[in-house]
Amino acid sequence: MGKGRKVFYVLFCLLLLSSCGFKDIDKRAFVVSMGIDEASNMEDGYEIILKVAIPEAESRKESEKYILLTEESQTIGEAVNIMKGRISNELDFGHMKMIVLGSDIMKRDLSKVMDWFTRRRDIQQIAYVGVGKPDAKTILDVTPKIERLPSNSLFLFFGETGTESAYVTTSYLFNFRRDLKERGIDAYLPVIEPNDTGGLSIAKLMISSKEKILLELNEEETKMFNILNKGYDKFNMVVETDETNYFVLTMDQVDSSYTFMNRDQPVITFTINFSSLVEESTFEFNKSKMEKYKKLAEETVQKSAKQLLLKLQENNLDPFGFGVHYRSIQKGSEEEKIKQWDALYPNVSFKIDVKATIKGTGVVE
Amino acid sequence: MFGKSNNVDQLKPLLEKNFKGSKDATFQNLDNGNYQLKMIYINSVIDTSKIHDMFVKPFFEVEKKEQYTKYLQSLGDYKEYKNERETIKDILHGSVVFLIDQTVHLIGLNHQENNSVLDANVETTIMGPQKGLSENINVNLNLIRHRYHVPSLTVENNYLVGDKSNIEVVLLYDSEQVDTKVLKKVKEQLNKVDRSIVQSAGELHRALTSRKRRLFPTLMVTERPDRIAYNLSLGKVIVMMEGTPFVLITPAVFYDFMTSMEDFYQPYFVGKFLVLLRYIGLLISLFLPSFYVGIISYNPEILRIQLAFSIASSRIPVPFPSYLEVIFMLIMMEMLVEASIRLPKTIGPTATTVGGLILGQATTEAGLVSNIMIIIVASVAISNFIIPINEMSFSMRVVKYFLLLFTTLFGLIGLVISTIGLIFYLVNLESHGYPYLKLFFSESKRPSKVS
Repeated sequence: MGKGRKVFYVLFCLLLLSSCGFKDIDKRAFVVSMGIDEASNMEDGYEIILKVAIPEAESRKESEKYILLTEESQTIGEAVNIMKGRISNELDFGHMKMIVLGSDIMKRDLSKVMDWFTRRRDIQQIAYVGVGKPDAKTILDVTPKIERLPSNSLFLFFGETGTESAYVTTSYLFNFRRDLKERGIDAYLPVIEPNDTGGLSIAKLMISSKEKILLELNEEETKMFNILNKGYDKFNMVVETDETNYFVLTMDQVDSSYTFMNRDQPVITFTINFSSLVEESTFEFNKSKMEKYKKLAEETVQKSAKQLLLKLQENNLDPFGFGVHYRSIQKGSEEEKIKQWDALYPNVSFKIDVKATIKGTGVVE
Repeated sequence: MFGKSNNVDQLKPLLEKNFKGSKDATFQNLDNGNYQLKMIYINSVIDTSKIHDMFVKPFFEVEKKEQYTKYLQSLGDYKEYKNERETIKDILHGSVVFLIDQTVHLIGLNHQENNSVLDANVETTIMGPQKGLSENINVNLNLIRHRYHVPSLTVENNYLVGDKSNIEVVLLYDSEQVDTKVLKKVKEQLNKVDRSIVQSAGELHRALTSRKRRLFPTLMVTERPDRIAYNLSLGKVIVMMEGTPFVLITPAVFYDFMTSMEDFYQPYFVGKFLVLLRYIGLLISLFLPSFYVGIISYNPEILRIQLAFSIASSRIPVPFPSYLEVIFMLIMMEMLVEASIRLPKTIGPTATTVGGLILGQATTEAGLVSNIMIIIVASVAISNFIIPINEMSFSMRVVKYFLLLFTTLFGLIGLVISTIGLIFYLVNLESHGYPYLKLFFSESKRPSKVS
């Protein structure tokens, strides 16, 4: 049985690969979200907030109880370690799916802040990242009424299993980290704010460049960004026909793409095709004037898209990654290419082609 | 035709020595004035009602000794005398021995009480034939012959197994389809059987395989004549045994144990769906308990957060680690199954009610096990019974504990590795020359075929 013994040894060696982590689920404390703020009484320190959900013995009712653990320290790892001594169950980051960065932290070098998250093996790289306003702790302490599990409403916002909105931008940890390191693209994060009804609102976007330029987009710009970036099709658009009249289109399908032309004097052409339905209007729709309405809709999209692109260009921000595109089509060393691009970007001209289709005027006759 | 003169002299004292003390042995002397004869038989294994009509009446009608001898020789079950040992065996299997002057004649007059055809209740089908086999080998042959009308169907019955039980074993095969290698192997092994008592098909199965300690069945045990006929047409060898309504089919591969005859009686897609369902059931019954331990105690991040929390909250009152909880409940479940098999049919339902409903409810109320655990144990039990061949489902009941052990010690990687080990073991098995994990037993791909 020499062969059988050999097989046994191989299998036994494989077994040694397993970790030694036998710990029952009820002995673990699940961190559902984590916040990072500036330390109040320490220079360059962090205040780490962990939101730990507590399961309740009454299993029929899902629990909404949680503990907020906070600790200030010079490093994230240290703070987490200190907090381990403050809770009797083992801290488990396996279900930590939300990272909230306080708006003060955004002014720091983010690639250093995010380092801890990318090294730890138990942090899921599909965690969502967002900016908390005014700070992370306020956001984590909000319990919306609709929530049945701590932080679940944030997961629903970003996971698109719940609401689907053009104002909500999803930024995954793996993607955010990549954007922080990659030359020629700037990282962007959704802004999370508490609202008056005791819940959370997510409608804005913050872009952060490697030179620590921060730009916050307003609601309309955020919507336009999502349309241009992902061809997001769950949005409405108000088209004004004259001083007093307007109609509202709801999108059915949106395609958006851009082409990059002329390397020395780049022209970036966005092509947006959308088909839509009329959702609301202040006047009687005239079939013969359909062409005119379409044109108006096209112009509206064109105008707001151009505005957004120019605003980004002015601030020298590039969340779409035109720079990455430029690097991919240019020869030479990477250092040189990115220098060239930095010089070119302020002079890039944008063209926007919009093709609208209005499929119907709603179910009214 | 003519017995040698010294036979009777030797045989008579031997028979008297062996059987004289036994109450049901009959030594009968007949004399019709012209000649005498001696009849020796055991009246408990033969059809005594026929003795008078077949032997005594003609004896007084036939005047000449030679004529009566000829009459005996013309009977259907006439056997020639071979030697003393064979004769004793024949008497034990229901033959009547005639001593006429110096000659010995044997007539088979075997009679068995248990020859009613039983309902197939181990492997039931909804729409298939409802009757299984009987405990009588001749009745069984009759049943199979009526399902398989082919002249090449061969019956070989020169095997007796067990030194003491001396049970008659019959080989049945379609000589045109059968794989000669398999047939040869089966015959060799039948001759090698060295057990004093063999009474059931399962026991014969143990005697017929070269491996002494076995976890999986490598021969199929069945009670369905339709399955036997189907397997005969595939060229398999059937081993039948006196006194049991089950037969063995060889070679049998893993896939065979997962088919029910029902699959053939249902529409194509329904049949395939049933097979798929069975494999899903197999996976659930094998992996669910160890998967539970692996996830709950090593990698809870696999679950959705909502599920993780509901499991965590249902586990809060449980004072044991997850593996003890699982083992505790599984053992209770196995006991319940065993109890309901062994109990008389009238008490069976009580046991299941008490065990399944009351115990399950009470243990969760008392906080000894979590609600989720009850669901898992119940689904493991149900999906285990979905495996159509009983032997395989019993094997799978055992295998899941191996997986559970490794998962408890090493987490999910232990589960993966023990599964690989299980597959290694299955690949290593063979059924009379056929690899055990061979998927499709089609006629065209058979390794050797009689041409």
